Amino acid sequence: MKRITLLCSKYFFMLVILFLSLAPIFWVLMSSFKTYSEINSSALSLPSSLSLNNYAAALKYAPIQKYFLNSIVIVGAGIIVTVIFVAMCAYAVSRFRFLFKPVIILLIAASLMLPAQSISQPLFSIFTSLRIFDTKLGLILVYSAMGIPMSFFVMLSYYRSIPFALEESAYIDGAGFFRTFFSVILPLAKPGLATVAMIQFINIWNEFYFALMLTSGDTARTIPIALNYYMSTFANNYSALFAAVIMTITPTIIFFIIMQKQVIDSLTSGAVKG
Amino acid sequence: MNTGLKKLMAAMLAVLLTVSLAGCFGNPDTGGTAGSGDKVVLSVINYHVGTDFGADYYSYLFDSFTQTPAGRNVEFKFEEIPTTDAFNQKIKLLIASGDLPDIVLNGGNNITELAARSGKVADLTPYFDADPEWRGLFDELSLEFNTVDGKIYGVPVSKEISYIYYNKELFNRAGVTAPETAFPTWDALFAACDKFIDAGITPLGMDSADSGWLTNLWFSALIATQSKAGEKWMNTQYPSNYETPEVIAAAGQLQRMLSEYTTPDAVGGRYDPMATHFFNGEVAMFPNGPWMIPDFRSPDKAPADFYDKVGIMLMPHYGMEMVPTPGDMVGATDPAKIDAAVAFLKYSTTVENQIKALEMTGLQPVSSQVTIPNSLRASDPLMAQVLDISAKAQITYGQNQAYWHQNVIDAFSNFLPELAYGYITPEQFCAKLGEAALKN
Amino acid sequence: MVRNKRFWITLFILPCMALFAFIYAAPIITVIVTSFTKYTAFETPSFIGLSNFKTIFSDNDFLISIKNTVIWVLLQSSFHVGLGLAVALTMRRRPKGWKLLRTAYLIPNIVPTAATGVMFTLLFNPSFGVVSDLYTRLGISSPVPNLFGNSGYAFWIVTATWIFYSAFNTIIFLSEINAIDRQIYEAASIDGATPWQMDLYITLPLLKNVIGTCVVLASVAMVSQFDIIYVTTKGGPGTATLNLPIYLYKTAMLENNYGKANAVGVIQIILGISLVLLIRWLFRTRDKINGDGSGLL
Repeated sequence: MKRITLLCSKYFFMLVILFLSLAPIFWVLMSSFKTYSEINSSALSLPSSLSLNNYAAALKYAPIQKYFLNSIVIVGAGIIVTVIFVAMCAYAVSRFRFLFKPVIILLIAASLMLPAQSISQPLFSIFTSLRIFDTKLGLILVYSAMGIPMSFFVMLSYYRSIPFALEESAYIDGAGFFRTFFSVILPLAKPGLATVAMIQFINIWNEFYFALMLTSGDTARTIPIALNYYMSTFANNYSALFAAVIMTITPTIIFFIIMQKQVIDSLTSGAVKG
Repeated sequence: MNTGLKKLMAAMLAVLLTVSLAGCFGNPDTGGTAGSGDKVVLSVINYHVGTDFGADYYSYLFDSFTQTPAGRNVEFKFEEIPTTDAFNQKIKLLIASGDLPDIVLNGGNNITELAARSGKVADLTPYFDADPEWRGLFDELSLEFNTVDGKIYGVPVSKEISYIYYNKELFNRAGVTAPETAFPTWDALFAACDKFIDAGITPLGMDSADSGWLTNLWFSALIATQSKAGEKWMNTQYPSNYETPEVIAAAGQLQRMLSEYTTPDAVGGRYDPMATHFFNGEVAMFPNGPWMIPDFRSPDKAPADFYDKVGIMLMPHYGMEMVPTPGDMVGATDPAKIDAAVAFLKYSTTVENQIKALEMTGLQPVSSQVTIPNSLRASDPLMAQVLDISAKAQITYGQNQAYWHQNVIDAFSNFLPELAYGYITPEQFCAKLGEAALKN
Repeated sequence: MVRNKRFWITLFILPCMALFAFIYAAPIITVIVTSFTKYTAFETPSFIGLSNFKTIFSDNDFLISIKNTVIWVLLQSSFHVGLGLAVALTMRRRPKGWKLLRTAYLIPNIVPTAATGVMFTLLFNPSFGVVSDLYTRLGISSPVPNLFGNSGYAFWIVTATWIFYSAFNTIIFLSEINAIDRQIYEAASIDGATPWQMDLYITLPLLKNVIGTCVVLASVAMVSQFDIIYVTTKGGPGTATLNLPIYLYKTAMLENNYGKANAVGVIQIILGISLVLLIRWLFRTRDKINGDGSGLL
């Protein structure tokens, strides 16, 4: 009896979470077929027709295909750079004592909550003088750097959970610094790296402020800017907004599903704890 | 990790890296050298894009300018920034860093003063002085509004007006006779409101989010029509004393309107659901400007025959909001570019283009010399009616987005709900506005 | 023991710190220096000592924004992280449908904030939203609560827009749980331990470190929470949902007072450092797994 109640409550809990997760996207999907009038006068009603007008409008108002591709390039590169740089840096910091270690940790902690508004002005000047204003490279650099503080602390904590003994035996076996890192530590740190990549993805995929401030044209602008095309204060078009959201989010979800199946499962298997 | 997976991941990495690198270095040049030898390239940051009400008109304006003699040599280099909110954020950054575009469109938010004080926009007074015919298009108030420290910096392209739209059908249903021009007093308007309430109809459209636009229109009218002092106060740029008898009395009436006469979602609500209430015949009276008229005919927004149900009246006491608009500025420093930019701004204020703007977007002509073509009476009778009724206004005044500091508008929007629910008194509400004004 | 140790350490740290310095060095210095100056959109910076800090600490709105930020940090590091943990523990034994749940739970995180904001304000619209629908169905005649518009509810409804979406933490916990040796659970199972006991006595103690990490991440995210508040309430009604980033935004963008805004920025920097220190101290491990013993800080 008790077992059954437990089982039931477990599935009930899972159902609640599932509902909370899928309800928003389902609502957005439904709203992407509604008219302006339907959206602004009833939140729960179903759309009167499943016409694709809003999708056509979404494509007409904003260059979302272009911005979507930009997003993929910029976010992809932003993730890779952060993961590689932080994996190396956090390893050195977690394992060794050296002169500037406290300074490094302090500096990174200081930038954890540095407000975007305060840093945009100096960044803008640097970027224009180095001619990386309005380039993908510029945004990639900003996003990679923005990812450093959080990723750094996540990786520190992951490295910390890997026993020292493993490296010691590697060194005794005659492996050098780099080999030890690459073939002993990195494989064990895969869950940490996957986590960092995921956090970085979510943080920069929706980043709006720098994408606006550090670009001026279509070459480097990303999806969050495209969504603003539908948001004019007295003349917004939420229907097109939601259609655009569905169009850009669908490939992302498919990518997530593939990632989860192929990569995350393999990345996160293998026991080291206990 | 099995080898298959390893290969997959390596392949993915490789693809991502190549794509990224190709993307990074494959950019076209960003310098201003585009185009052939003697073209003048003018950079513009345009916020009239996407769903902006002026998007079509501005794209016509930029296109047609390059076909005029003055614009033949001009080539525009656009940066698009959708929404005035994002536009203003960027313009403030550019003012601070000194990288303003050659033509600085004005998105409001006290940008004129900011840009002029920074010394990064051109003084246009000599151009106005050199062309008396052009200068003659504008009334003194419009130019004064764009003057900082005695110099004209902005070229206004329109005037902003607002009044009340009402739903004739709902007036009939509630047995309220709509006044020909305006309710004589606020008490008359409130008496009508009570009749609507009795008939189960919500009388007024109001809001509070973003900047509380609709409520601001009611509030401005309430203040300006209280007394001569109120009228003067409502025509003052950057008022500093918000605790005058007129403002407090108006806040008290606003409190009543918010709690009794409007929809439940007005408090904390945005403009769009409120407009939809009006389109759907759920609200009898709705304050707004002529730019709303095209929406009455939009099949997505309003029911098919809605346009014919709409009537127009002035605010009580024959009041009407009428303010000059902040004009577009010139950020160029090169003399040839300044000339070209001024030529464009002149073009944007020609009589033909003012009429075009009126027809396409409902923007009111900045010049009183513009005569409205008869064709408009047939194609857009409501718009023609606006022009007729605005001549009957006895009290004109400004509204907060034109005359208040940014942070006071924000305080207004934030504390309206507190006022509506009676968490603060009208006096405290006005004190909050005054407190914000002091921070500037 | 390690050959060329210094060379390798430098090589490993350099790229990361170079990028970090390139983006952050000038801004950090600018923020700190200008926080001691009178610096507005109308004038170039001039030194005024601690004046900006005195102004903000005597500003009631600023104190309210600190209070709200603290409450949000506490809620986020307890309920939000706890929910993520609960979901991870539920999925640990891989019940039917766990993979679907894992992917689904991530989706709300990738819906753009602009869309989420519009969605929530429409969903809780007192005239035609979920609540009014519920009231009609249940025949309740009292006025429908205006969740975003009434300062009595606004704080909680804004919190509700993010507090349940803890997929981040779930992913972190899951990967950590997967790293736990299966044999421990098998042994415990043979000894007759219930699943609940296993979670309590095996899983949780092993997750202690990573819970600390999640709490740090959640707190950092909360102190810098801006977008969703900006698109729903902009800190209102009144000051009900005002937090530090919104306060800073208003100071910089609406008051054009950059010096004062950067003083708020400095406070956020200090808060960032102390939060990391505090939480690491709370979750400090007594058992030293690694020889060096230096954890996060």
